[in-house]
Amino acid sequence: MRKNSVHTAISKWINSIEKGQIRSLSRAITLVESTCIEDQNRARDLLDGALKRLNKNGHTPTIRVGISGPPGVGKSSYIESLGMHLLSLGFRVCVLAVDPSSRVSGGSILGDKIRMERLSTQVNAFIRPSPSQQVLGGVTHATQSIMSLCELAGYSVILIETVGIGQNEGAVADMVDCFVLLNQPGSGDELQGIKRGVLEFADVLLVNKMDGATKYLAQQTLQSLRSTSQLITHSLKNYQVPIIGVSSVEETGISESWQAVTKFLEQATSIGYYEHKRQMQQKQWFKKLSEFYWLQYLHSAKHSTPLKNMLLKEMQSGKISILEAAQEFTRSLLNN
Amino acid sequence: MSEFSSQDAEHLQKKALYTADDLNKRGFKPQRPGKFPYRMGPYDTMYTGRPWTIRQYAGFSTAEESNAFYHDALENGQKGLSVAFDLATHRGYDSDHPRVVGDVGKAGVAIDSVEDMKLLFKGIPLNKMSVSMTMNGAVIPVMAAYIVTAEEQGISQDQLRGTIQNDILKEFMVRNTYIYPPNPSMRLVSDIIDYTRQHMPKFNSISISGYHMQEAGANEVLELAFTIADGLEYVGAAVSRGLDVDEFAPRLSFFFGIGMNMLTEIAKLRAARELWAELMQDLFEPQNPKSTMLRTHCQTSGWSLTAQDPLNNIVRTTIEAIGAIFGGTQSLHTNSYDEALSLPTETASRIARNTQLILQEETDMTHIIDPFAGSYAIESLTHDLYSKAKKLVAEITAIGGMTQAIKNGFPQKKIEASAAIRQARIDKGIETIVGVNKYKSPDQEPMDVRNIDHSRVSQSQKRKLSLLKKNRDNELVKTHLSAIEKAAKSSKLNILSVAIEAARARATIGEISEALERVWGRYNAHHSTIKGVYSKVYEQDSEFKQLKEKVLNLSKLLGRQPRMLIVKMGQDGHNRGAKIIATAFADLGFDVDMGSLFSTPDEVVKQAIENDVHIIGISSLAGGHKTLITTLIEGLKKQNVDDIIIVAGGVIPEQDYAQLKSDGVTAIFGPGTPIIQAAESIFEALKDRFISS
Repeated sequence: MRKNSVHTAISKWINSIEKGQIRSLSRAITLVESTCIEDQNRARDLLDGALKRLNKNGHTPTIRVGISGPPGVGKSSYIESLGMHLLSLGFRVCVLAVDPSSRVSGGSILGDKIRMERLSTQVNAFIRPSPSQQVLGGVTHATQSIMSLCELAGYSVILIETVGIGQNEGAVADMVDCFVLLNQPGSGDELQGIKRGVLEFADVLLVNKMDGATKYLAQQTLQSLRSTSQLITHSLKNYQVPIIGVSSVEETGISESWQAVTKFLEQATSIGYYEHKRQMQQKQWFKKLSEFYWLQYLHSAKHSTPLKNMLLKEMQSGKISILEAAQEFTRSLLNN
Repeated sequence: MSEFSSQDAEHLQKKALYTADDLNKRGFKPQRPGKFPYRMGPYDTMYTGRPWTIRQYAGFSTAEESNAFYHDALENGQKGLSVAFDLATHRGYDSDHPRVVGDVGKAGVAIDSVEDMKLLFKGIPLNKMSVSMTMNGAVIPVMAAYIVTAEEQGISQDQLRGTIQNDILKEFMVRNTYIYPPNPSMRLVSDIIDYTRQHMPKFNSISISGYHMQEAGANEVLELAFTIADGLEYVGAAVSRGLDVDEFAPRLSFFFGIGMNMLTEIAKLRAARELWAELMQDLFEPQNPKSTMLRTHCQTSGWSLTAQDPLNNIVRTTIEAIGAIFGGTQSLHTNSYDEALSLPTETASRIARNTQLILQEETDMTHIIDPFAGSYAIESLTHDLYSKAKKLVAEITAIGGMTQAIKNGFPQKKIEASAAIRQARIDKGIETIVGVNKYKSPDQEPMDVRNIDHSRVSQSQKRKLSLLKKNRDNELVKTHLSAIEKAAKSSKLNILSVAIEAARARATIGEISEALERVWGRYNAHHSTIKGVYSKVYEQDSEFKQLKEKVLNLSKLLGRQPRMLIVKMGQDGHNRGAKIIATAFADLGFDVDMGSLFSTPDEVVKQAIENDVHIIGISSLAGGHKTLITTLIEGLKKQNVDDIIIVAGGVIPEQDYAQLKSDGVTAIFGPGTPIIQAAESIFEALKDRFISS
């Protein structure tokens, strides 16, 4: 049995999150991320309360920005620069960083915060790296809920960093207001091929590393991206995806990139696209969450073990096919 | 014979028997000492003319106390000085800076200004004494203070003899006592090379160091290759600035670490000379033969010292010293037996010095030049090290040189993997360390260690600083500091020349560093950490598997992986231990948060709370543990955090265990604690605190 160190009543807990108590927020995030059933029940209550509070108080909605790109493109460094810029504009900034975890042992090394050294020491910045559990989209299943908690804690901008390895972007794009995609200098050639799938999520495109030895290459990439920009279609009518060069090292292009985000949001809000998007997102999220819980149920359904073992045996001895075994197993769980 | 071959962690294949065939296969050609490419030694008479210089690295507390220590050492047979600065000075902070609370006077001497430097060398004529200074980050203000000190002793700078380490690349690679970003840092290196070339002809402008790579876990091949590649990068930078290679290359010196693989170490130094000579000749075509000559300082391995049975360290150091001498080093530092515990005591320092005196004066080791020349085994190893290193150097050249390779993390990753594999082999008992993983001594009395009265040093430094600031012309200082800023912005002025003016006017080390920081910023390298290396050695180990299983089960109860924040506080940048712990614990199934280097206790509190960790693991090697850990625990209490488990590891004397534990530290792991053992005890602590039985 686990010693329950958090006895706080839900309403008290919510109060202290709303007051900006970092420890309460951080513990709430742990609760939401927990794989324990009892925690999940508590987390549901907490979230319920938090959402009600958010609706009641008419909080100014938080700006949620997803930041993605291939490994090594400099996401964390960009977020560090952008975060510092946002603080200087008077925002309170929250960064949720999702790190990949090894499939073998389940442990992970969360090093993103090291790359946000200045930002991580600022009073008005909250950075929480989460190990990405093996769920849909590579973003922890709880991210959506965590964003609401951060909103309640008074953070006005939430930046979500994810490792872009191709399949994550969709999941992130589905939960943010604006999706920023960072590009590596030199990646221009691949643009028309494999990256198309990712590009269609992008609301703002950035080319990072416009500095030092990579400056020339970055400029070329920027140009080739711009020359093919008509190929990038956006579901917001008449919206031309901006393509901007940035350098986290020299801190150039940072404020321009933020202006691009706000400009997109203005345009999206003005024609109701924004509202539409949030509704679509909720639908999408509902679907994914259901799938997640279903999978979890599938794995934890103890009563199914004897049946599973029996089916496996029959399958291995050649009595039934894999397909039959899997169908039979799923059917029996549904009927239970 | 292949079944008897030993494949050690070095990736250098060693055979049980070498014969004349091995020499033939490698195309062995005899050489002469003092002749290109210098495999047998840089000088034709070597130790038969003059033995190596006994140069002990030392410094602690205040300038006054270090000065007394130097005088004593010089009266007792030491021939050259080697100054150890404290970490605050290394990182360009004055002693009164809030970030260095735990570091002042700890792992070296605190120097804030010319006034301190004058006290440090009081009664030591700088034209007669060769002085080596381990300084890389705050290299400009320290050199400036040294030159002004000599000037005020009445000695002109052209008479100064000695060495400034000035090797910033390996700082970015392993040691982490840099201040500015790589490119401006490289400029400072070149500025110093250029300045000494013009004004200080007897002074070695740089000491290209492999030592710290070996300490960080690099095997001999990596140490050799990366050091040579660093050297080539510096030469390239100076040449591209328009300097003639012969004007500065003769004043480049090297610094290698010498570990317990004595035979390999002998071969390494011989291979280093040959590789450097040939690459210099091929790449830069110098006319002066001295430009291709590798002269080196060596230090016995600090990493090989154990906290258990510390007297064994005398034996280890002696063996390593012999390796350095047979390898043909020009000067040598021998470690004191108690350095795995703290700064050396008087007795330990004396024995370390005597070790060299005995080797020099009681044996016949100095009578024969390169006695291993022609040995089937040593010549073969020399050749193999040479070719393996050469290949790696070529790889780095292909990347675009060392500055670029470091930016890509290439050498860091190789060293880190080498370190993790080595640690796993030791933990597993594949490699023996007497008194640690084999032949453990049952009872051990705690040793007497040197204790630095930290608050006294700190107060004395602060007093001197405020006195200095009161008595100087502050307007003049301001003018000089803005001149430094201007020099940093243009590439035409030599920053050292400008800084000397400022030092003369009594600008402090911290002020001069800060002036440069205003232009370039303070840099922090982004460390990536590898995974899966440690567990590879343990793949089949039942203890490892069991613990992993237990961690997994615990995770189910906790609702997440146990989460640990690993931190280094203060200005201590040695993060080999922290990184190995991180990989090993992640391999065991922990979620590991890496804290930033140079964190303050307050920053650690913030991060621990935000990440909601179960455990904070503190790695401390530079003696700042008492102040910093106590402050951390107070900080946690202030935030009403009472359930985070605190553990500490590194160089912490046993005398301090009781106080730390009563402050709230759950476990302390001394050097040599196998990681699995540490993980077991952390696992138990986790169960105790978070799971009810």
